[in-house]
Amino acid sequence: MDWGEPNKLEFAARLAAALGFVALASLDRVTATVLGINGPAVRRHLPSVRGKRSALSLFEFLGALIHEEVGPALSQNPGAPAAALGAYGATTHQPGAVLLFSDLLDNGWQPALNRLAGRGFEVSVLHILSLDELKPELEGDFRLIDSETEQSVELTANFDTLRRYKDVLADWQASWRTFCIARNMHYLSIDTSQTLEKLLFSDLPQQGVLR
Amino acid sequence: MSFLAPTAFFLAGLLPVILVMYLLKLRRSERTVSSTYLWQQMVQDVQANAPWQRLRYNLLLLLQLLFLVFMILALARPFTQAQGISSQTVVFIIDTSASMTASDVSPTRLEAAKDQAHRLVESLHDNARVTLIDAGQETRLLIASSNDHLQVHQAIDELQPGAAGSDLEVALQLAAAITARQPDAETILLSDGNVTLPDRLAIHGKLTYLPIGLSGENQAISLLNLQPGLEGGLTAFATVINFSEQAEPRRIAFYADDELAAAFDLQLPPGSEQSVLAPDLPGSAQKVEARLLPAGPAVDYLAADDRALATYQPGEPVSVTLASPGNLFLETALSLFPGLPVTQVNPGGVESLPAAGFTILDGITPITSSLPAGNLLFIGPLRSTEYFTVTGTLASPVPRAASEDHPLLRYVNLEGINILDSARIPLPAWAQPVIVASDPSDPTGEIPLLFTGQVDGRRVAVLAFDIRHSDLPLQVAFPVLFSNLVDWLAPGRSGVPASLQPGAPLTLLLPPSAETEQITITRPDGTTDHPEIHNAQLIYTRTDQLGLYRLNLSDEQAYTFAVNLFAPGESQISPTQTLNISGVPLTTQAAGQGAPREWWRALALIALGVLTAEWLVYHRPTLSRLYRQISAGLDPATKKHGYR
Repeated sequence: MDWGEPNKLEFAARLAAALGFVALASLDRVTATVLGINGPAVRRHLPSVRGKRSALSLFEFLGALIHEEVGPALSQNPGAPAAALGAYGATTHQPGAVLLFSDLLDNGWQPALNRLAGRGFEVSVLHILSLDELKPELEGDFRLIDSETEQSVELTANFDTLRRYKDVLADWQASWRTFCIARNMHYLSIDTSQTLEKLLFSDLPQQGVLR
Repeated sequence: MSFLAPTAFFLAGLLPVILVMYLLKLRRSERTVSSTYLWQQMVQDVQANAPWQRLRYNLLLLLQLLFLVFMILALARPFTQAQGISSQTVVFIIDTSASMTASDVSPTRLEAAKDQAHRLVESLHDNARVTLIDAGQETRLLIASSNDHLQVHQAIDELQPGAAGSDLEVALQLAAAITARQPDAETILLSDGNVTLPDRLAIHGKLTYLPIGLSGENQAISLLNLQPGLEGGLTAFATVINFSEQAEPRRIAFYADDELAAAFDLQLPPGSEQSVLAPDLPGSAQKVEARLLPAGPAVDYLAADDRALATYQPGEPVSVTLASPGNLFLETALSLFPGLPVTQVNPGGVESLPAAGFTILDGITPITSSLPAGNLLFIGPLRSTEYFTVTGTLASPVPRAASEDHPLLRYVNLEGINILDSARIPLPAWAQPVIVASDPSDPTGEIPLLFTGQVDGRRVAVLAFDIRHSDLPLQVAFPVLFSNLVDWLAPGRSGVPASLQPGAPLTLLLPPSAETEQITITRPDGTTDHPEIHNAQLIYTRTDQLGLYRLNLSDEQAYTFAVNLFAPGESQISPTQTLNISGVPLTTQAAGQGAPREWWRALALIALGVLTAEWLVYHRPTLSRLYRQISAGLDPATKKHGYR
């Protein structure tokens, strides 16, 4: 997630802060959990807070994601964040609204989300992708290296390849949308170049994430 | 199809090299991306681990292989055998004489010859050196040994038919000189065969004659003459010849100053000649034109000889002095010429002869004084003069023509003329022989009996024998010959002939008063020429157009003369299928096994096209981005919202 221009993690943190503040302002309980971070440098979990006054601690928690170096602390295990989400669902007693900020570029998310939905959580999937993932500009022969898992893929990027990539991407996003609608979840595909204002006042209310 | 350089196919070994280089292309640049999750899904079916699949959609590779294939094919120089000429040095001689305008081959013989020449040039080897000779009234070397075939095609297109005959002697000698040192040479002669040929020719390589033309059907006006008739009118005399093999009905019409004045229907038997006399034409006519018109289903393929022009200008009378001891034949003959005032002088007056239009010195020559001014006719001179030397006498000479078709011997039959004796006069340098006799004692083997020429600005004719010592005056030839001589010596219209053959030069002695700068000649097409003038003699050679010419000597003095195709050789248009030139084996077939036609240019061009396509494909993303940027820049709507 710590990738892209604008950065996906930073974008997720800002969006989470905004939505968290909305929740706190309406006297809801808010907890925040970072999925897929191993190291001790960053706190992984913000225990439940309530009321506008707690907003500062929420901001502090999310701010740490942006300002501190989280890179090395990221999990090398591709399934780890999804597994962490499953664990979260299993350990939380009171089901409520869950907002997942993720690029979903891993396996294992769908079983974990299934389980959350099954337990009565009202799930919203905020699918955040950066511009270079949506419209990659590549030309020539490349060995593409995964920034998280360091796995590599060799390919010759040309017009055809890029067109097929876009097809795969569109299919993938469509399958996620179908998955979410089928389970009564909210799904919103977000690109990090969008403005928070537009999201908060237009896209999120439209999708029913914000009411 | 075969190949000139099949070794080039070894280059096909480069094809697998390109393939291997593609397979081994390991220079992949590394790029870190956020996640390979989607990329992996995408490349699952094209996963690079299967090398052949990697090549599957590679347009660039395909284009590169294609380029190499076409280059190899081009380098191997494929060729196909074509009908044509295989020689490396080819000389085309194209006959552009008047008979080549005959329309028995559509559109004309010359066009057909040009087409054939075009086809032959196309079939030539690319490096073959081509020479093009235009054999018309004069021989012109248009292209000299060039391998720029485009230029040859252009020169062929620009060939124009002439109005006169064609002498192939110069053209063939030129061809012989060009092909002399070439190992593999061929001379191609495109003609209808109605040409003058050399008697003997030594030509290197092959000489091919391609006859052009199918039919000889033609009728021609071969003569048109105007004479003053009775009561101030004019009488036209025309001769029509039918060259066809069947009888043809024709009509001959005479136009006086473009007004129809007389017309006659003729029934012309095959190969016949018919004379027509049209009396009582208006005497005021500046020009008389005779036209051969159709009068039934006649076939006439040559139009140039169906029309003739003549002019009549009475001109100023020419005075004649006859210095003679008394010669009834001469006196009678001279009296028959209208408008020729004759002054007779006895031998006693020979030392003080007056200047005259021309002077006849019959058996006497002045001893002490010089010869009188004007043209001169010597008959049987007894002693030498400043123009010739008498070296003795010749007994019983047998006269014969020095050359065929000499204008002075027109309609003159020399057979059966007996001469008792003649003065022996070696031919002077200024003179041309007209009638000669054999003389074993002379180094040249012959001695002239009649010679003519121009010397010191005057015309001089010398008849070496005394006509009273021969039976010539009793022959039909005498009045004709004498009339021709008088016409030549006393040109009625200041020396301007009534009619000239196309291409024949007009020569004229100018009066001393003539202003040479003012002299112009207006051609039938209306253009004006300034003729050459040397030593008061005018020489004009551009008589290549048929029609009426106007010679302006000064503002008051102008003469007209006509150029007519009175040439039986050209009117006789039936094509000759074989030509006989001794010493030359002549073929009449275009070469069978032709030059190989090479295809490498086309292949190289395709290879270039493939290379361009490869370049475009290689830069396709850049080009399409550029295109999008340009179209976005042009579209104001996109501009407003910004471009993503």
